[in-house]
Parts: sequence; structure tokens; C-alpha cells
Amino acid sequence: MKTRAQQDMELAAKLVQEVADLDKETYKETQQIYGSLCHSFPVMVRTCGLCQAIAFSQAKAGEGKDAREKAHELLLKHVRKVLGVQGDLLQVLREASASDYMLYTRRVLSAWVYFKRFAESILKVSSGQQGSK
Amino acid sequence: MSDRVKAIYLHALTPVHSGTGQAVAVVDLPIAREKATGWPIIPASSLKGVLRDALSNDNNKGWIDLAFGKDVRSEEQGEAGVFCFTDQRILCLPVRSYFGTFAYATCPLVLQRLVRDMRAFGVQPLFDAVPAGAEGMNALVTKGSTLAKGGKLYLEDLDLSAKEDEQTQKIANALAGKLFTENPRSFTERFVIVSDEVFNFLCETAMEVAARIRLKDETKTVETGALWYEEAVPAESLFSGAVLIADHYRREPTDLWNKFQPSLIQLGGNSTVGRGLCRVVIA
Repeated sequence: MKTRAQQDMELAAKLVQEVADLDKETYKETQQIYGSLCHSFPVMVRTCGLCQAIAFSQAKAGEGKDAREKAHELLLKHVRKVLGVQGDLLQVLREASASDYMLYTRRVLSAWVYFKRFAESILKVSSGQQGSK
Repeated sequence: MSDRVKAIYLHALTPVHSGTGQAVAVVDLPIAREKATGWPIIPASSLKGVLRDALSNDNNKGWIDLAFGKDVRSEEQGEAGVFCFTDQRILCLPVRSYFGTFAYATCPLVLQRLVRDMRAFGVQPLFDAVPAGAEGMNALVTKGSTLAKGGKLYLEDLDLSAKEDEQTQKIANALAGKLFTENPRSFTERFVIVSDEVFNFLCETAMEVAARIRLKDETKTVETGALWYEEAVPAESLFSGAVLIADHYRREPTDLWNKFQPSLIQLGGNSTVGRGLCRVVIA
């Protein structure tokens, strides 16, 4: 049996490493933007709320070749993994009870401590290094 | 009722950053929080030093040394003061509200602990009973509350069911009578008791988080890595605690209390950017 912190750390290390393992030639900018999002995303959750933060990323995400779209896509994928959600994240959040919504928010915030740290140690992106528009 | 204890209430006029220094957290510089509950606190050590400084002047060194202790670095021997301060715990948290602009939110656990502690200290609590009914997504408001419309209350992201409650009104009146004597309605009409669960959530998500930067002097652009996030308890927060006179002070304490009359203090960090101005009410 592992603590929640252990599980969060293990998952974050694995997912951030996957981003770092992407081909440097093609995804260098994506890695930088993703690293920056790891720093700014939890602050956005704190200041605006989980729904707003997810909606913001969803609006920016895309499967195309644009580095920023790809970074947001990765972020959303990782939020889904942390919350154990499959399918449309916004729909799940929309339909969640208030209790579940509060739990989701706190789960994301506690897990993102590790994403933030691994963005620095694995991706070498520190806070404010790259804009997160 | 003990004449050796007084309650201290703090009303934050500007956001308060009473921090813990650098932390491994989502926010780089978080505020101090109580370990068991995660609710904001202002440690007694922060409060004591600030009060000492605020009350010190050229004429009262003797009283200050007696009340707050003698500096061990001085030539004379160090000596503990007779005032014993407790941590300041959150009493009401200002929370964005769809109706009424903002709410002074609290919860049953906060109120129960306040009553219990004041009784333990020998201070007459401002109110006796904490009403039942603030559970789950239900909240209790005062009569004629500006926060609720049609039985609904909207705090931050949360939709709550609101019910007017007489005991809640009594608590609001009692707190307003101590803390908002000039305009009690500004408090009572915004007072709400939410469930402990909702209050927990608000204590995490309703804090202010500000981005701070340092600019390069030559280019006026952000220095690499010089962006950090700071947390603060929002303006309008209310805290409560107590100050006790230690057992080793054998004399009548009236003279001490007469001199202990702080009004406005600056608590925590970032004073030069306006943080931490608090009104002090001793009761």
C-alpha cells in the first residue's frame, strides 16, 4: 500500500519523463511550454477554479503540429490520469457533485506539486521561463 | 471570569502574508496554516513581536520588558515576559459571493472551538450555542442576508442552499458587536455559516495568490527565474486568539491591561507593498 503522495510522485515522474522522451527536434518547444504550464496551471486552478482552468486548456489544446496546442493536450491528458477520468474531462467536471468537484480540485492541486518539481528537474523549465499564453 | 485573560480579534484591512518561507508546494511562498486543519493561522510569535514593536516608545521600556520579556542580548539578564499569546486562528474568511459582493464565511468547527477555548481560558464566550444545519451544501445565513436570494447562495464556484437561522443571527450580532461597532449591518448581512467540508475547500481555494517578479534594470524585462507566486489571506479576514498573563506575575493585572491598547498593526511580510495591516480588537 502506497501513500497518496507516493502514488502522485510516481505518476508525475512517469508522465513528465514521457514528455522529456519526446523527440527533441520536433517537440523541443512543446516540452518548454508544457514545463511552463506545470508551473502556471495549479496557480490558475487556485485563482480561477478547476473548471475554468481546464476549459482554458481545452480551448488551447489540439492534436495538430502547433507546439502550444500539443502542450495543452498533454496537460489535459495528465489531469485525466491524475483524476482517473476517461473521456471528456469537462463533461465529468460539469456533472460532478459539489463534493466530488471539491475533491477533484484538491487532488489536482496536491498532485501538481510533483509535476511542478519534475518540470524543473526533468524538463529543466523553471517558473516564468516560458510564457503560458 | 478571569481577569488574567483577554480575547484578541484581528481584522485584516489588507491581505496578510504571514508566511512559512520557501515551500515545496503549488505556491512558492505559502501562508502559515494549522497542521491538523490546514486553515490559515497567524503564529503567536509573529503577533507578539509586532505588538511589542507597535506599543514600544521611549517612555515605556520598563512596562514593555515586563509584558513582552527582556532581550537576552542586552547587558542585563534575559527574562520571560508575562504576556502569553496564542496563535491567531481564522474566524471568518471573506469569500466572493454572487449576491452581496462577499461573505464572511465560517463553519461549525471554527465556532465550536472558539466557544470551547474561551471557556477553557475563563473568558465569557460571545455566544453559547452553535447552530446545527450547516452540513454538506447547506448554509445558514442571517435574517435579511444580502448573500441569499430565493434560498440559494453562490460562493466562489459553489452553489449552496441557504436558510435563515436565528442562532446564526445571534452569533453575527455578537461578533459585529465586538468587531464592527460602527456599522454592524455591514457584517451581519454578510455572515454565513457553511459546512466544515465547504470551509476546508474555501480555506484552500479562496486565498489570494499573487505573481511577483523582479525586473532586469537595463531592459525592464523579467529576470530569468525571477517569477514567484505568493499566497496571502485576503483583506477582511477575521482571526481570533487570546493573551494570558503568566502565573508568575502575582500582582493585579489591571495596570497591564490599561497599557495594552494596540489598534493598528502590520503583520507578516511585504509591508512595503501594503500587506498585513490589521485592526486589533481586545475584548
